Amino acid sequence: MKSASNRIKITWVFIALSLAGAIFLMVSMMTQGGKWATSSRNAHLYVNGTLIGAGNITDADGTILCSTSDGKRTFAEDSEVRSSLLHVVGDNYGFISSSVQNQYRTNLSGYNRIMGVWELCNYEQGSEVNLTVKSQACKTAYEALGGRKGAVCVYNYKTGAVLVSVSTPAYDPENIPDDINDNDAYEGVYINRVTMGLYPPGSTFKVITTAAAIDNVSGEMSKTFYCDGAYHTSYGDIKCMSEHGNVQLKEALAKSCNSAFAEIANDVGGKALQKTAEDFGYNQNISLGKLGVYKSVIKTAKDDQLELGWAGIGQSTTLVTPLLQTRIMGAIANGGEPVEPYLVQKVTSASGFTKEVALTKTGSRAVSEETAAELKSLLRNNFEAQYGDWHFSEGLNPCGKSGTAETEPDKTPHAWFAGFLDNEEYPYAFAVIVEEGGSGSEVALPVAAEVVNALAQAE
Amino acid sequence: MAKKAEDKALKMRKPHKRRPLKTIPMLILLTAYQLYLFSQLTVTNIKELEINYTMLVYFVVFIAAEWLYVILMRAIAKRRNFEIELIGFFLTGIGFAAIGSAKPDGLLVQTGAFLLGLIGFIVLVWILGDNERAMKLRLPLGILAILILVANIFLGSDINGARNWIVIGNAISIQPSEFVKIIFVFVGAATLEKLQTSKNLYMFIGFSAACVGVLFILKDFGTAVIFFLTFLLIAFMRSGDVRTIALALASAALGGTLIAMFKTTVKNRLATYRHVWEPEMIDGKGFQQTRVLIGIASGGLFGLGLGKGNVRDVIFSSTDLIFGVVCEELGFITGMAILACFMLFAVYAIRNARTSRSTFYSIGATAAAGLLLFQASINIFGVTDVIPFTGVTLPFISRGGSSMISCWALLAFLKAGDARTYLTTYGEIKKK
Repeated sequence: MKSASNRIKITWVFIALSLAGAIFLMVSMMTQGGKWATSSRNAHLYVNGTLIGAGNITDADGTILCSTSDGKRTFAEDSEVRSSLLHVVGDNYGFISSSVQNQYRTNLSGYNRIMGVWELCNYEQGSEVNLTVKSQACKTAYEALGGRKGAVCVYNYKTGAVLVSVSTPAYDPENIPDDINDNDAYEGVYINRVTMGLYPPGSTFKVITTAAAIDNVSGEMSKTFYCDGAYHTSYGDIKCMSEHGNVQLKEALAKSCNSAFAEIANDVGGKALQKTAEDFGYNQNISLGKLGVYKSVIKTAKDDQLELGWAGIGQSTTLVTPLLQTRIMGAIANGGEPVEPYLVQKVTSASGFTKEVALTKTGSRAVSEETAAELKSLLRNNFEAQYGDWHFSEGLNPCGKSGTAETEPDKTPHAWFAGFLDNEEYPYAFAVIVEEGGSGSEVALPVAAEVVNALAQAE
Repeated sequence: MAKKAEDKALKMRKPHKRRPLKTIPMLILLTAYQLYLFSQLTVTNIKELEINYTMLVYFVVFIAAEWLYVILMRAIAKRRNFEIELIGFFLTGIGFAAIGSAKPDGLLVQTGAFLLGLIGFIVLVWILGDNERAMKLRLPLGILAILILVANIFLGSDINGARNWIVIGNAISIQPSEFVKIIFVFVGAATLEKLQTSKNLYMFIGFSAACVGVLFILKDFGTAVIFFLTFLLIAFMRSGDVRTIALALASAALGGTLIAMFKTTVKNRLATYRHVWEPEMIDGKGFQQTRVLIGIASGGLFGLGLGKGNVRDVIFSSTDLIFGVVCEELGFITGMAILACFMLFAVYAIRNARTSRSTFYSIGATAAAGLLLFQASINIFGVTDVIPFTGVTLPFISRGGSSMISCWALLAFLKAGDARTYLTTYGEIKKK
């Protein structure tokens, strides 16, 4: 029976099938093991739904923001620090889904593909996650917002380290208010407004319009615009805050003249304006490690003079996150190249082994070095000519642009301020929004100044 | 007459000169590994030297049996090659360790079954040594198998949804389908040895249909699948002429019935398959799979150590889910090594096919190895959601006395398929 012994070779097919299954299982384990291990059903990590098997979360100075003791997950000592960093650190119940505690639970649990959760079982502790934020400055930001809804974001535009990320309303994760789900004051409390809040940029967008003008229309800087209190088109008017008379771009930016910028936007054209905005990060996926960042959006009208005018002053359908505002300012401060922001500095295993360390990454260039330099001097001029340096500690050299973003006719506008310090020692870019706060320069700028001053002082 | 035929067969097919693995050093290595495993369970407190003596006894008996077997077989049967048994010991040892962690009470039965299995292995290898003797047993064994299964229908008790248990008194419960596996392979291989008449072949088809049919009634879906796959394997090895058509038809009929009979089960399993992590599944129909996957990920490549896992607390951890316990506590590498062992059995059967004394031996060995590989694969890939979940146990590892005995008996076919098994004895007789 030679043929029978030949046909026995069919068994190789079954061996091969088993091998294929084994390879499939191995690949699944390597790619999805983290998800499996950090499932809330894993009793190594979770007791009664609380992530007890997790390491410490600390701020840039080593202050403990979250730790596990006696099978309980506790937060920073200071109640206001806890509230100010709620959206960054997270809570015990997974309500703040885009937090470090939730998104980095694989790292926190000490899980790794090779050893599983062995480290956790052996040291009874997961890995430590060091954040880039400064908890005291975050507390200052939280206090400066003073119970109003809004967000503050500050990052180092040379390294990418996010120093302040505060979103309000917030609450103390160790004393969850009873009326959190009914009280209007807590509306949207689970959302991190820094990364997920999408707002009309208002006049802060004039910076983008300016950049587009410098790069696309020659002679725009020396062109004279006439403002009689509105920009007129056959479809309707765009109102300005006052009658600025004859202005050039530099002055128009400092005074935030709507008439001038509506015209500049039309000089630039919708396509070029959108391209510049996209170069700065609109319509692009901006990342903050594993934390979700919403995409800021812009879509300029093609031939509609009025709509394009509105877009030029940031009042069209354009929406932006405070994080992207900060990154745009960082790009200008850093010579046209934005450094990508990050929040997790380092992940260290319980045995002291560094598992992950943040690296400074530069995103694709937004504008040329020359354009960036010109924008920088314009934004510096805003302070010299309009806002005044007195808000900031001496020598910080602030640059920036305010914004007062209209939302609905009968509502108070959102107050914006986005800027940076042209300072080698304190390379901070920042953005502040106060929802329904009113004037950007009167409401948001003082908040930004207070936080940045505190940061510079602490250094 | 028979002897002459054998001598002639020996001359015709000379086995490859393959150097046997050095048995004693391998056994020492294996024992060291087992001591390392078992010490984790017996020494409960290193500082105060607290020892679990009950467990110690089981482990000592186990290791002693391994050594006694090898020493006796070298001395009496003059055997030199023990690859099959060493792999069997390796698997059984891991099973002991995992059961010691998941359900220590089960070790008494497991130890007894291992000893019985080893004796069964020795006896079966001896029976298979004589072709004529084996052939004579074919018909009575076939009838016995059907009788056992039929008895199972009437005397069986429902345990965990399947009726595949016979409880004797209050103490002993046996799983008859496990023993039918041995007879199935035996009858399958023996029928094909003398397949000159188509009557033999149809008898085998009838026999297979009867076995799978009874398993339908017993609601033992997993075992039915394994029988069906083994039937296909044997059928393929047999096919090559007109009768192929009959076999193919029978296969289709069997497969069709299988699915029709288990329509709801199959539908349920398919609905869960690849959806185990979904919220309504994770604590329901995907409960076992997700717990095993969590265990595998938690254990990493090297495991958390015996007694430190969580899968062991899940229901059926010592039977269906034992692979999860092994991976979590001894590591994914150990889990993959187990699967590799079953592949090795199959490779071994294929490699020895050419030098086997007759097709009875080569087909018997291949069918036994195939059956074990099918069962192991269905278990391992079922609990890990690679294929739809089917409640079968992992051979040699899962807790269960009937299963342990049947696994070792199946190994006898592999052993008998290796020409070297009987070579030394016959070789010496010939010289004298």
